[in-house]
Amino acid sequence: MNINDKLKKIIESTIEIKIEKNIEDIVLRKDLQVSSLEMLWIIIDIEKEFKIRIEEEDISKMYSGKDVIEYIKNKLSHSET
Amino acid sequence: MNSLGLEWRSLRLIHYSKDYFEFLYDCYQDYNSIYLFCNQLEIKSKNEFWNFLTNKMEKSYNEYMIIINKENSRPIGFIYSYNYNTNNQTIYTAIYIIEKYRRGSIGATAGIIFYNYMFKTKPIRKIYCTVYEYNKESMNLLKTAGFKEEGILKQHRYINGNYYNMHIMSLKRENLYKKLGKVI
Repeated sequence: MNINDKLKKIIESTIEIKIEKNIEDIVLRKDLQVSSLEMLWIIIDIEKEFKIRIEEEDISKMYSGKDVIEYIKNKLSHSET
Repeated sequence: MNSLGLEWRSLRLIHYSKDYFEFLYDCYQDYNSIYLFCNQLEIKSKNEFWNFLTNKMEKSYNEYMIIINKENSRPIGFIYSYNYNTNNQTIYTAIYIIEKYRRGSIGATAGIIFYNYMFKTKPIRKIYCTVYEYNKESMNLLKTAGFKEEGILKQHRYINGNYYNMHIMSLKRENLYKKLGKVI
């Protein structure tokens, strides 16, 4: 599974809704009505899955699936170097 | 039970001390937000607020904690419990986060630390939280935290020419740990 698929699986599992749209196009709070607590569960699962640490101030900047994917890619690239 | 204390992720909760009086006073001047849960909307002077807080601490509040951002050790909100009923084993809670930190998951994180602390340190069956119908974000958060609606006080509160319903939500011990048990 690539990052997009893993993220989609994490979000679906947290909010218990099947996501039909491309995960990158999803606006988390608007399209899925993700609450701040669900966002926290998603972040914790992302940290476990990708073995990265997500700072609180960065969470508030994550509006869309695309934002989250870019963030994960960026973190992973820094951890590899 | 679990290793979660009064610190988790980016936050630390500390018991209220006089050092945070000025911070609390500033919070209570934020009328646009304080109306979400506080009935006493016009606390004007520091002396008036001191009397208000002292009275509440003595008669109503149970635990009153300041939410601290661990990165810079600065206060960013407060959370408290009140109306603790040892016979019924129930308690009420309320939370306030300064506006700058409301977009992320600070409120959720602080709530989890506090609710866990309450269940760990007191023989409580249920934690209640009251939320007004206009506070959609809090309602959504409480539901995803495992709170269930127990009742509605219809047209309970009057603000600026309108009456609003108040929802009474409750969190049972087992509902908190359904999800929390997997992450701590």
